[in-house]
Amino acid sequence: MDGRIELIDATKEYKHAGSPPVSALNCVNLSIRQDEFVGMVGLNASGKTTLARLLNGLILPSRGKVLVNGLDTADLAQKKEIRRLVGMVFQNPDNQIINPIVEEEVAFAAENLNLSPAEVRRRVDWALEVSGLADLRHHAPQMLSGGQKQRLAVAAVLVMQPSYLVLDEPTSMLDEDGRYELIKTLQDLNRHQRLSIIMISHRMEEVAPAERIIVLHQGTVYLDGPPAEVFRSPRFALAGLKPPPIARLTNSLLRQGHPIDDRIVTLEQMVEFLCR
Amino acid sequence: MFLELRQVAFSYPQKTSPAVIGINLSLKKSGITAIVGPNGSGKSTLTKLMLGILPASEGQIYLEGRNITEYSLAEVGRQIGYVFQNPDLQLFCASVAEEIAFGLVNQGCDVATLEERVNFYLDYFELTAYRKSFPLHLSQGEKQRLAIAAVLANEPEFLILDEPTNGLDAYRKRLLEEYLHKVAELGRGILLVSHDIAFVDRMAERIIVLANGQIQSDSNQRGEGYLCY
Amino acid sequence: MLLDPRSKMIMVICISSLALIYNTPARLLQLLLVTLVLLFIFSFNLRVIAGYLKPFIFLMFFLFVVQSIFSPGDRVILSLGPVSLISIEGVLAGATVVLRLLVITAAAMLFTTFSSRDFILGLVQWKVPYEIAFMVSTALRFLPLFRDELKNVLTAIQLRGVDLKKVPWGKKMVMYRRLTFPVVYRNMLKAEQLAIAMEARAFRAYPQRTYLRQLNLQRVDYVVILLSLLVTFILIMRYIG
Repeated sequence: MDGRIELIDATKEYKHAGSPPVSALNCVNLSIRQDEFVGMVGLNASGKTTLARLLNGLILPSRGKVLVNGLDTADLAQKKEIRRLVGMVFQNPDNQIINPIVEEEVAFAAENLNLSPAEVRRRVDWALEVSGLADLRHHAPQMLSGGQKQRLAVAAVLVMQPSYLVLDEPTSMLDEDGRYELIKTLQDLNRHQRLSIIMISHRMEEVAPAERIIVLHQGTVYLDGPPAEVFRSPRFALAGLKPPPIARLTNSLLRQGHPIDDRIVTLEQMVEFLCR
Repeated sequence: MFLELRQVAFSYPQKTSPAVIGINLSLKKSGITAIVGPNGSGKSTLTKLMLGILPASEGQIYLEGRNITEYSLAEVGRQIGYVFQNPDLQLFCASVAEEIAFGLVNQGCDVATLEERVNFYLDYFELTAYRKSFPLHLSQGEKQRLAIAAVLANEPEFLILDEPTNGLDAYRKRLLEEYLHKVAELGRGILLVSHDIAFVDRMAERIIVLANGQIQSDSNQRGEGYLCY
Repeated sequence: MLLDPRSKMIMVICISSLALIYNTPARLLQLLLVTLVLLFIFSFNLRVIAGYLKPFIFLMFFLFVVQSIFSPGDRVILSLGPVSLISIEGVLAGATVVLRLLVITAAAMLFTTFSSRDFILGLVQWKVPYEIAFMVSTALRFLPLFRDELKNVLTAIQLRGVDLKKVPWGKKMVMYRRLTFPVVYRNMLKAEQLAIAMEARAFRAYPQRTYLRQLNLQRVDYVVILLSLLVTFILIMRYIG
């Protein structure tokens, strides 16, 4: 399937009484393929969250268009399909989980889609499996760790069989173990289930394993490319960001003339290179 | 010694294993200390014990030489300022200025000193522009600054911050570092409770590692690596 | 004996109805004892029940006093000059109000024996619209969290130097009002986020919805429901007649 999410001249303005409209996003043009793993970064007011919400039609652009596999998010008739295609996971798992049992939490979205009970059951089993939560299916969500809760939030969305998964700062309330678990799950989903992952984060180490990084700054796309290039670009610092430690190490070594692969930005890549 | 914990243990009523056990800790009134550990290691429980919000199941806790059970929460608050993980929960006034003045007003402070203190803290934490704003409408970072200012206005000797870096991006974390240094310059001791090792590494002079409810290491004693966690 | 949540709901409604109709402390005390026996059958022990009722002690005392003072009666116990303050009738009236509250609160504990999901399921199978059942159940689930937050804000206020024990009554009310700011605000935000998350999961996207589980009324449920309704009906008739 050759689907993509496209933003065409997308602009989002917010009007506050008594002051000129504030532009959260300004004329953004972007295209994301259905199997890409994209990291989206930028400072707090850069427009990341606004952009994320545009991707599944939660908010509509003030000007311009957002198309999901050709469907316009402004088209009310397509709302259901778009919501199904683009799943969203938010920052705080406690504000997303409503059921007292893991299995039922996952089933929720599938039930809402009015699928047959057999199909619901099948999808629930699959979602639990790929999120690594199969053993916890009868547990209470409150008893889960932060990382497990976020994986539950992911599973609860996966059950709709989306083509894209947008995660808005999913790791900011997690500790190191939780973050590691979640990102590994996302990578598996991207590789084995061919799910496009669009992850917003403010930790550069987390987006380093992505295949593409989009940097937002003051409502526009400032940089867009493979991690190594983006981290190395002088504009990166201008956007107020610092590359992850391994990328800085690579750049440092390159500058001093060491023969190191210039695409290395994660710990795993560095270890692999050094062991060769 | 400002705060002393001797063989302190605590278990939550419905849990079988203790949240913290065998805690022996002494904190001085000055300097920046940090307690690090993964989520679930007992950090917030320990903080609540130190403030007297939770009663210790075993052991004793002394604040300025007196047993903490002899203090009311209000009295503790005058010695130790506590900034919640989520500052929203401790902002309950109608304006930023009122929030900072709250503690002082309750202590019957005179108007002149009140004005002076409020203006000082508004200025020190760069909140002057927001003096009439509704606290809950500020951004996360600003709310955090306000919580720090409001708690410091009572002039406690010591400040405890619970997971202050949650939800902050790199830029805001740098800002926080600056503000915390400013607090230290005022002569207050600081205790940071966090799972963000990088942040703590830059800020703290003394690092205590907590895991499974027990103190694993205390850099005060040996200066050894804490990377074992 | 796993009863359908609807049977339990019917029992609570029956007991509450009787509590509202009975008007003497003697009757209400009997009803309270029956309710307690029922709770024991459902594996509640005294400690848990006491713990659950503890937060209401203050309210009950307050109601008792107010009701006693404002219910006129002939047999005066306490008077201030020519004004009679408390009479025996007043005390009985106060006891009635308190016992009524106790009965209804204790009966409501039965609601904690089943999950919110079963609750929704039960209501929906009785043709209550899904959205309403969902809203009620979600609200019930978030109530204890609400309570925890209130406790946290109270702690924050005290840590800011306000010694609640030393605050005079009038000011205390003002202080409690302050509690509401952060709690209401946070919960409104939370509700909004929840609504967004639900929307993202196709909530109400289709007019019909699948239910993975089915709740079936067993014979024991029918027995319990019929018995509860019958007994309640008989008791009401005898009391009124």
